[in-house]
Amino acid sequence: MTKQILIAGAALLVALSAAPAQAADEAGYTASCAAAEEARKMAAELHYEWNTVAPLIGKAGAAAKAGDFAKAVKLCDEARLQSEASVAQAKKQADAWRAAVVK
Amino acid sequence: MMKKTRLVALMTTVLCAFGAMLLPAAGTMAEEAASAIEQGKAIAFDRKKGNCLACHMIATGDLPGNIGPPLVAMSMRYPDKAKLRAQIWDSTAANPMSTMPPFGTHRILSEDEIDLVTEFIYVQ
Amino acid sequence: MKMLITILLGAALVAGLAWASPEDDRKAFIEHYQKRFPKVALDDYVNGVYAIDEAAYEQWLEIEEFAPYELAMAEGKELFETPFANGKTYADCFPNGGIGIRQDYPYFDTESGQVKTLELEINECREKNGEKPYGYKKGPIAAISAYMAFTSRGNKLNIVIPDDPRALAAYESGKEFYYSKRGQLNFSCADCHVYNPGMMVRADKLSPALGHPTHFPVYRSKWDDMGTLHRRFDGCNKQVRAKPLPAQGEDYRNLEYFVTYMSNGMEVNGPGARK
Ligand code: HEC
Repeated sequence: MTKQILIAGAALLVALSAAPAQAADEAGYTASCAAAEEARKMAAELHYEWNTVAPLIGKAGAAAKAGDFAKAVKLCDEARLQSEASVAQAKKQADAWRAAVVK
Repeated sequence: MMKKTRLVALMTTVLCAFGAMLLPAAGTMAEEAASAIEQGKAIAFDRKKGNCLACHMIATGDLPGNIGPPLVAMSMRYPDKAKLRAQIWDSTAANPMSTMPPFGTHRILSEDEIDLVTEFIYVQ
Repeated sequence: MKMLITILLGAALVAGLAWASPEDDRKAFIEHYQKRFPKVALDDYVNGVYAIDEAAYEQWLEIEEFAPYELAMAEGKELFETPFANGKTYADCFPNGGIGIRQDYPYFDTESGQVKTLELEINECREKNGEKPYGYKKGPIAAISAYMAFTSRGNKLNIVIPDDPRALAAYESGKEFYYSKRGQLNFSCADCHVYNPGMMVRADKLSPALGHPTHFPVYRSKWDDMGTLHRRFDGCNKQVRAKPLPAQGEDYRNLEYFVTYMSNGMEVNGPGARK
């Protein structure tokens, strides 16, 4: 009897500690991928999106579906950083292209 | 006489012990360097990674392009390895017109990968 | 917009920046290539990379002999001549019945304020006559365009930039696209086709941009298929890891306007064949 209570208690503890952890992971994934999507859109609006970004976001979605939120966050962070780099590229090129024109 | 032999024996033992401690250490360091160069080479030649051969001739690489200069005598051209790494990381920092992809700024390679490629290119 | 451009042009002049007219640009463009390839005759640039690659030139002549675009051309002729459901034909949509007009495209349409390309107008013609538009990169549109190019062979590209600030803005936007680095790999069109023609990217020799648009649509061995100029833009954007922009969208039409203007006066020799 005591043994059963102990096991049930332990299981409850595990469940209690795992559930918030899982929820936290999922929230982290949602935030990271929302930021990535926002950055991607910014690059797209400038017509400067890289074709490496959508596949990263796609892979993140698949990882999240499989429950691997840590991997999904990593992929979405990468997608965001690449999108930010392409936005920076667009801003730089807005002036820099003139120096390249054949004169 | 006896003492001298003993001393020699002792010294030999100590030296051997020392050597035994040193040798494997020296061995791993050399191995690590060689392995970094090998790994760097794999990344440099991989079409999905560095793909350096698309534009540069590199010894032992097949089908090189020639948009960029041949990568030879690198340690002479870049005595400072950090400068070589900076060139790989973002060559447009020094020359905005450069056609070389900014491997670091544009996240084409990771920091670790750039370290490895630098090791490989440096010994060309 | 008009005012903005006037202000910008004025500012550029005041700042003492050399303002280059499209004609200045074109002359500088030609000079650039003639300096780089002093032995290549201007007329030969319509042959693309084969103008600067003697080894591949002979092989290419053999491919051209076999005319791999012939099938598409025949299909295009048939499509061109077959009336729509309402009895009208493509000939009703184009000047001179659509024959021998390739050299005038793209042009700036002052009515819509847009650059009009041949492929765009082929689809506009279809829609006006109650037909569904075609996809812009390959298939029937490439076939019809191939036939129309064929009827124009030997005519000289005659791209006009009318005295309309919107036309100049379209040209400038194409020029900006051409010289801007794009994609994760950070290449501009000019990085490859202006500053490195004749150089090798792995096993591919880069062609000069001068003469680029004269032979489109093209039969490309690598595609084993015909493709329009915008299909090629799409491919050249992808290889630098940029997400391609829509075929016949404003960016690519303006790009075509600039690129074709640079080849003004060169002979139409489409459809062509390329490796
Ligand atoms: C990384 C180098 C590179 C960049 C950047 C690049 N291209 Fe290309 N392009 C090629 C290669 C390689 C080919 C095939 C061989 C050739 O004809 O040059 C090609 C072919 C072409 C052709 C067909 C030539 C023919 O004779 O059929 C056109 C047109 C063209 N490119 C236009 C562009 C435009 C416009 C851009 C910018 C959006 C661009 N390219 C950017 C490498 C590049």
